[in-house]
Amino acid sequence: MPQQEVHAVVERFVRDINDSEHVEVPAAASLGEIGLDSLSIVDLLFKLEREFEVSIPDEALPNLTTVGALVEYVNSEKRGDI
Amino acid sequence: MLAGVGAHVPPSIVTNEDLASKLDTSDDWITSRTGISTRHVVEADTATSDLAVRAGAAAITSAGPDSRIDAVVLATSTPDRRCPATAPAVASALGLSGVAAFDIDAVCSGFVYGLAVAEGLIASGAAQCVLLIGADVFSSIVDPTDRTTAPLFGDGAGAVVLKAGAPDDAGALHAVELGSDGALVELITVRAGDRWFSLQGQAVYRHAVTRMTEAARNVLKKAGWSVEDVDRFVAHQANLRILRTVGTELGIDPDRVYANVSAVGNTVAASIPLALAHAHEAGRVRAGDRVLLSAFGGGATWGAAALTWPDLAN
Repeated sequence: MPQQEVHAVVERFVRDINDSEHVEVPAAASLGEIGLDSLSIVDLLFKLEREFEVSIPDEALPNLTTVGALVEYVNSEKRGDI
Repeated sequence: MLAGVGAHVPPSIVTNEDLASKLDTSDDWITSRTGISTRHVVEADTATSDLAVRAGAAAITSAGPDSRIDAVVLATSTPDRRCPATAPAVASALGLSGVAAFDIDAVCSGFVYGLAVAEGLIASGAAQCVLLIGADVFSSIVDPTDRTTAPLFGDGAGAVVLKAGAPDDAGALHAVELGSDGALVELITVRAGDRWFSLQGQAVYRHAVTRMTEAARNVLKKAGWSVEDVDRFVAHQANLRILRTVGTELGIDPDRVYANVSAVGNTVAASIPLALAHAHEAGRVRAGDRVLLSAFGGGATWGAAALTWPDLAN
């Protein structure tokens, strides 16, 4: 699965939360910088888990502070499934 | 089956503006994260038992003169005293000296646990008519200077009367589902030696949504109901975002999700019976409605129940 597909889901979510199509969602940005509060981050995790049928355990969360790290994690979990 | 419902909140109200005048917070911040606008808090001389007695009396009145209470179960995690339980004092204050009376503590899941306990008391023949009260005074353990927890909680009590009934009676309790995971003890706790309560908000949100959704699905299966059968979803009122997300995960129409958290905040064990009482008063639950309950709380504990709403005179 291309990494772009996961990134696109994150971008859609962030633009909906911010109610703006003009928000940039660079891989290096922290989740806080792109307008996600702590509960929105969890909502995003639920969305990624549902859409890509992966599990993101609590233990992984401390390392998933940027868009890029989160996208890469989901992508690697998905690859592991195949 | 359920035969009566009642509630009580203390008169004093704390608004988000009141909190913003003392803490580094704002109405916007609190509302956007929690959906809470106001909460009721007790005066210094009011304890959990005082709220429990008022709610219990209201539930007994609602149940009518034929309901002879022979057991009082109080769900609370803020008992009047560390020892003994608060329920015997509540029973006596209600003129029920002599009946079975004890506390249970499953924090915010306490009322759902209590439904199973009450049903067990009746099924075993130990009691015929149980007064189940959920009551908490979290203002006694929440640090008023902590902007992350102080806005979340309110004080209150809610109660129901349960007695033996048939499965097709309005008011029948069809199924209960309970669970716990002690590995999550640090999420919601007052640590030994600490005065104040602490909460890991982000982790609680995640586990609450997951467990409340799972427990609700399991109890629907036990009851033989589909999601479409649910007329009203009355979940633990911790946070509007949890309610909405659990509703979305379950696929319940948002119009069927009842919320009073905006007015009362998280009232812990009182939350669900208080919501049931408010929904009943507002005509948002009617006789025969299929009602789904779900809760998550400290422990961690969780639970869900499926019942039909009784035909209540009051």
